[in-house]
Amino acid sequence: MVSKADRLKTTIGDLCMASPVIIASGVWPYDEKMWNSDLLEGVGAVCTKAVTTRPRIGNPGIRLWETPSGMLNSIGLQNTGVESFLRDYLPGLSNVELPFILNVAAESEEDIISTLSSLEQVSDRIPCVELNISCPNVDDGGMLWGKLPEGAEKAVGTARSVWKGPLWVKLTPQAFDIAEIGVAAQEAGADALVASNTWLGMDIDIIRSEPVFQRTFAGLSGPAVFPLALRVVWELCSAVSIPVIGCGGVTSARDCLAMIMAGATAVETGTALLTDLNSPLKICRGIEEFLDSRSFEFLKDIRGIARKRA
Amino acid sequence: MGDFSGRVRSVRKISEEIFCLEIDCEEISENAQPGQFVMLRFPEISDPLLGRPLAVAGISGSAFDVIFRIVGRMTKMLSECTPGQSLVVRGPEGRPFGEPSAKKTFLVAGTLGAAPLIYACKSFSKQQEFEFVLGVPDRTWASYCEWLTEVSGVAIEVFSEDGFLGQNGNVLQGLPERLEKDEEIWACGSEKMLSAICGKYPKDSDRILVSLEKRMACGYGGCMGCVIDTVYGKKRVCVDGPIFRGSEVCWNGL
Repeated sequence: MVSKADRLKTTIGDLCMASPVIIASGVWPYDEKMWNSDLLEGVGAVCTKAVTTRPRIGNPGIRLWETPSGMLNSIGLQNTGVESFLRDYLPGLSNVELPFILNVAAESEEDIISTLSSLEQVSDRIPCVELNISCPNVDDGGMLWGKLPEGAEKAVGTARSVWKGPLWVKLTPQAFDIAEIGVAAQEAGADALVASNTWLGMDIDIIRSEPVFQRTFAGLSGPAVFPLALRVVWELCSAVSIPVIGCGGVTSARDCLAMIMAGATAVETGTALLTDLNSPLKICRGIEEFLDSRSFEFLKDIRGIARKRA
Repeated sequence: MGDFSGRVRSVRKISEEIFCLEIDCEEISENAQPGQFVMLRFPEISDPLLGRPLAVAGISGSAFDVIFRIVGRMTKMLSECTPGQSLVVRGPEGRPFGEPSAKKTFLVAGTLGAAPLIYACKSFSKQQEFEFVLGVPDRTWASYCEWLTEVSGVAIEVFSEDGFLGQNGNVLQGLPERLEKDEEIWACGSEKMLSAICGKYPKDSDRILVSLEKRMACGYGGCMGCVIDTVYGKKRVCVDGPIFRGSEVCWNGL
């Protein structure tokens, strides 16, 4: 008999997780009380909020806006910078049993080198880095790193030259051709791909007759984007050989199973936590029930099974 | 703090637009302190998606109260709840007012800002001298004023902009010229009202506790959607607040 604990065990490179449900970057704070095990039941790992070279105060104006079965956000990567992370937050995270994945955002090659060099010095305490290539690269006129393969290759190659530990790359759905970007990131040394980030959208406040957000565009997440994210995962899994982590609107066990059947190894979930702190545990229980009902032993046994027809 | 299941015990229609929901949920009724809030949403429904932050307005047995006005789809749906309806309750969230530290406390509310103050009033009235001041726009708030007097158990000094209810004017007129050393203010209402109160006592705004309100997604400090500027930098209203000292808040930046 397989122990229950092993059925959902998920391994990506050297990173072993008890469950395939990873908390996506942007929704989990460093506050100590949020890292007690009760709240994180069912969670395999937690991605930190994005860390940048220098502190960022984030965006002014409205930062959140609800949409049909989704939400737009324009937070602007507010964070206290990598130095503060190492001093103020890393010691706390090091006491937590659950692995964390450090999300890193950078606006230039210099920033990538600077942030990751600082992290490389304490690499034994950082289980994994997730490089966010959805942000603009100022060296390239503000073009998103992940929009074209050349940008993705540059970002990932630069990161790889400095950071020797596990490196995940979080792609942007604003890419012209996501499969091409995935291949470029893989060739530049990514260990896994996270597909993907929020979709750019906007809304207009018709009473004030102006865009809701000061930066006009904002990132769409939540159940509304799930079918878009699933398609991205499907396309990527046809193109790359490294593990793909499905991210976008995953809310239920059903969504998670669909991602795995499309070829994903694990999922990241963000907006689902905003609405239901128990969702990781519910997802795990739902997956176990599904495996039982279909007589599958392990979650990994269903990875990619929907691709038979493809 | 966590997500718990709650059940509507009663729905009271205070006026055409204002409602009080009494919700059974022991995790909240046993732990919520005055000034804290909950996030309410409907289970298994993705539209509306996010919980709505509402101050705890009172506790009775295993239930707690919230009051709200219909301003959008979610509050309309909440107003249509019937007893027995299940809700998801996140909380209790945020920093509470704490114990009153002065001899006398002015409780100052702008319309529905009375919610956390009624709870404070009921919790501390045995040990504390309170003076309750309420501001409302016009005569349509009459039944709300009556309801508030009934549930708070204290006399409420009302100011209305049309002069129909209580005295003509705003809450500032119900406050003393100077704040004495053994007096403090707890206030909840619009940013404009809170800023004006702090502006009235520029040297004593450290003795004014304000309860702020912002658009929120998580309510637990994760998303950074509800930050404000303070003299200590950006602070999250949901966990660093919603109660702040008036002297901490950069009122121009709100």
